Amino acid sequence: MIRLVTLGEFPSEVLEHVARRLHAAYGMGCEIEGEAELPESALSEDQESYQAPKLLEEIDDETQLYADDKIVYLTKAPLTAPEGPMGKGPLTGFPQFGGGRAVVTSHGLGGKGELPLDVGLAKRAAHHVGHLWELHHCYDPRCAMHPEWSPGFTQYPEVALCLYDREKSERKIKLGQS
Amino acid sequence: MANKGTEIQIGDGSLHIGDRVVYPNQGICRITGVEVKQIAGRDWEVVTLSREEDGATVMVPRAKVMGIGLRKVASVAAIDDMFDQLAAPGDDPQLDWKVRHRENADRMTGGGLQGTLDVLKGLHALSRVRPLPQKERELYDSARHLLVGEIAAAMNLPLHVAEDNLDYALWPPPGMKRKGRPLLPAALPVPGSSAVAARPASRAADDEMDDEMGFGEVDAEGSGEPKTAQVADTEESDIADPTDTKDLVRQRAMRVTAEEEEPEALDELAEDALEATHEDAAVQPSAKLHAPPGTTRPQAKRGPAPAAAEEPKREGARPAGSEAAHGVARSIAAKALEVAAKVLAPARPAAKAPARPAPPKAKPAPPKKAAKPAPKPKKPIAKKPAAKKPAKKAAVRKPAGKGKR
Repeated sequence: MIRLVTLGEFPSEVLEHVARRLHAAYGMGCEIEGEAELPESALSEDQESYQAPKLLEEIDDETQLYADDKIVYLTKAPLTAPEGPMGKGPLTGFPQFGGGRAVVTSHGLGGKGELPLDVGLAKRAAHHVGHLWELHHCYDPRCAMHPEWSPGFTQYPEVALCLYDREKSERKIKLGQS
Repeated sequence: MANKGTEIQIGDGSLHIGDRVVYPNQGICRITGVEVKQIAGRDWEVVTLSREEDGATVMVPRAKVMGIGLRKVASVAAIDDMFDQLAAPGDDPQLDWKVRHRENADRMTGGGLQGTLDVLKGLHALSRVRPLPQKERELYDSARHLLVGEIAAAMNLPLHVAEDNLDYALWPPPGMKRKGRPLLPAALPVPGSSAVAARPASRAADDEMDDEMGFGEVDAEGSGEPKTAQVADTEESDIADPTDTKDLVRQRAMRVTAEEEEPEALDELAEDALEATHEDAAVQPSAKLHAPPGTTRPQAKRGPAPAAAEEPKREGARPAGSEAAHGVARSIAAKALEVAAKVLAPARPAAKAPARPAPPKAKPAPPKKAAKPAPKPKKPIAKKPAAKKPAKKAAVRKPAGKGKR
């Protein structure tokens, strides 16, 4: 089961769209759990964005995480992550790779050259849920696992996985604990 | 079983218990100890490793530790150097499948950072030209998985950040720089050359993937497949390793089938459509005979009326099987003709009858003709014999017209 928890207000139709797309992409149940609050302790030094790994650690959320459940937190706030050898790059979300929780931001969606809020959020969420199932980035621009900053990600708004990633995710889901 | 102290040296002396190591093709492991295991009646000293990813235990004979390529996790400097290579423009991909397969297999079994990097970069370059076959797609994913794990382990980064950084080098976002030098932003793969877009219809195996993904038609330029990809296709057909052939042979078989069938299918379709047009016309009478009255539509609405030459045949064929069905029509026609015969000359209707147009006009026709020639004959002497002749023809013709409706 994929559980959606909002960290801020989102239109209900957007949430329903995201839930439907996630369900279609992974063949798993997806439900909207409710709302939680952004942990202030995860605010970065500039006080404008949230440190994503810290946010996931310190979020005060009562949602129970059973066996193979995946929890996706949706926020409008910009996120940051530790800098790697390539420096700072765009960040649309942060998953615990192979784990159970991911945070996805709608920051920047609906702008010029970006996908609309509902479509973009659904695709970003599907991308990061894929990382929760240990899927890596895919070179296919139509796959939801294509790098989210690449032009292909916005060019193809459909939330779909390529055959390889779909089979891999299905295998992971079947082999899951539950 | 004996678990010795952490001071025990393993391999060439560079490995110790508790170290994080890279096991070729398996990923990051941690050395948990050295044990003695009795296998096939012999005591073997084995190094036990715990795979970090899932906690699986791996046992390696101590004497073979260096032979299998077990090594320490790369240093930060080595990783930095690796990113330099990733960000640098790559060479053209190796298109000879056999050479590529052999080289990649050797690199992966070697387990070195450079080897894994070369595999990833080579397959990434190839994926920009054409979609990867299943086995190479798996290899690409495996190489990526190993590198991401090693980057994360070496630089103490979350796995997701490691993967994003890897792709910042392979697919640079706008404004990305590497050591002060701006990188060329990633562009959308050229339609027709990459994974999905605009492949010819003959690429059935790959189109199957598209269908399963549920993607619609892509805005392609219809440029077809590049020569490189075609060359690679032909080279893939003769694979040395029989274990790898299964998927490719299936793909190739589907491709060949599609190539053989599709052009024919187009011709056949066209021919069928043409034949169907004629068949429709030929089948109409019998089909309409079974249709309940009033349900058929006038011939004019269904298309051009059948040729006049066809009518006599149908007329000849019909009375044999439909006399009873058209008895009412015949009697009406006979009555009408009896009235008409009073004023008609015997020769005229007989001469005009074959030249009559489509049957629907048959009903209103007799009164008109009866009205025109009416003043001409002065002596309606041969009423009855004259009436009989046209009556037969009209009786035959009228049911034919009704039957068509």
